[in-house]
Amino acid sequence: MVNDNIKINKSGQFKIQQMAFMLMGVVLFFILVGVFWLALKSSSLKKSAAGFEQEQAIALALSLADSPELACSEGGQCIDFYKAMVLKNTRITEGLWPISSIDIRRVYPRTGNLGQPVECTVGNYPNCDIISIKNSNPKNGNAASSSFVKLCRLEKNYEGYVYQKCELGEIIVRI
Amino acid sequence: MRRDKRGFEFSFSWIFAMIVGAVILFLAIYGATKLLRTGEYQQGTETAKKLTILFDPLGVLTGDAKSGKISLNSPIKLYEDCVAAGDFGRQTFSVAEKKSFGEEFAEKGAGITSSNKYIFTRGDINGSEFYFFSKSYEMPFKVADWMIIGSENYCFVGAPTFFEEEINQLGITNVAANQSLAECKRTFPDIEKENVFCFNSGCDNKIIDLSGRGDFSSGYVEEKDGKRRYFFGSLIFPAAMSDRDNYECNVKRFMMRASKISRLYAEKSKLLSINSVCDSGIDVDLAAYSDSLAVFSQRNKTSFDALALYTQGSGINQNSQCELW
Repeated sequence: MVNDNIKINKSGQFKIQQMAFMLMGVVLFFILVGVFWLALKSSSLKKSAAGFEQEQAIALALSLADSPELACSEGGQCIDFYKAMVLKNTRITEGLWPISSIDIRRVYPRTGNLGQPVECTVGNYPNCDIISIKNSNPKNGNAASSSFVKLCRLEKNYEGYVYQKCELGEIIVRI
Repeated sequence: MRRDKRGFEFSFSWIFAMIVGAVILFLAIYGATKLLRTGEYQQGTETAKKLTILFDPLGVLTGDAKSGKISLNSPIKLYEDCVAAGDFGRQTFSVAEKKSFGEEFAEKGAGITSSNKYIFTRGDINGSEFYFFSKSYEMPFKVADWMIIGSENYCFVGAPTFFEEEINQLGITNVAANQSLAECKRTFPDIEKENVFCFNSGCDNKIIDLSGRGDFSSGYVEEKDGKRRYFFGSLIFPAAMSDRDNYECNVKRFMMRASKISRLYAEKSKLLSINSVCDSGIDVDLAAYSDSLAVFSQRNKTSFDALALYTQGSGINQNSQCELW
């Protein structure tokens, strides 16, 4: 009688163990499926976020040259050199655009500077190549886009007449 | 008396399988519901981001004004929240998409914040087609482009010629300028009373001129309850076609940005002078104007107070030999 009872208990314990392993297997399977799904989802989310950043960079590169902080009086994808210099030297537009930096590059005529492009200051203009405007953006992504623009400034000729002198430039926006 | 002692015996494995099955089923249903909600939240957030990006090229950029229609694949509810704090203030847009099952709108997605957009709306808007209309705001230099977004129709009765011409030239399909209320009803048979505005008098919502010249370059929009929204320059349209909170907040944000731009012009004027190009002679006025605008932005002021600043700005005349803007 005692021996029979022991037999029954052993079989029950075996069944419990079997179930526990089965259960662990099922749980592990679901966890693995979940992890796989999360990895797929996060990779697609990252891709779509990068796509949105790129789209935003393109939209900003096209519209920044017409914003009042940079635009010439005549408008039409034209950047005012003096406004760009003020933005470079002050932090007036800090937080206005979702960007980390704006570079305004003079494309034509070239200055003849060899090697590294020369950063513009009030003192060295027009013998320089680039105006860099920094703007802190906590996101600091990698998207960038550019657009060709007119780069204009007021100049005075030898007769004392003030006129608008325009050159070809490029605006590079980094998100 | 015989008693049937037979019964159904539940073995341990049966009980165990049922409990575990129920738990797995519950988790699966719970997970699927959560996934569906997350999907709707993500969809809403993506649509809000797409719309915010779209608003950039929809600004005026070149020319005087722009109008058109945004068509979406499915109806959405667009929420807008405006805050006039910090250097430029900000507007947050969030979108709720239709639920995967049913006609209700899902929970709204994450808000997309922007500091360089000035969107005027009348409450939350819903639908799959939105009309937009954008124009520049000047004070006296260009401050920003504003945009009105809505899905409702608007009618202006007894509008001056310039106003009527502008609407007709732009071809804004949800806005009409008519000479009588009856004409308005004919143009938009189902138009709501609060979307009808009469110049001077004639209906519940009035547009009153304060310029003294009758050109409505400044004035106010008065609603049935007597509340007024003061406008100046191109803001006549937003004053009529947006709600009070949204309008006052965006006007304050315009003043914030105008203050920065005024300072920028003062600095530009100094640079031109240092480089011996020309002397605008208004850098001091611009700096003072920038300060007045900054003070306005920091205090609890309304569009009524902004009217005085607009008039002050109009008095700054730039030298034609040294144009700053």
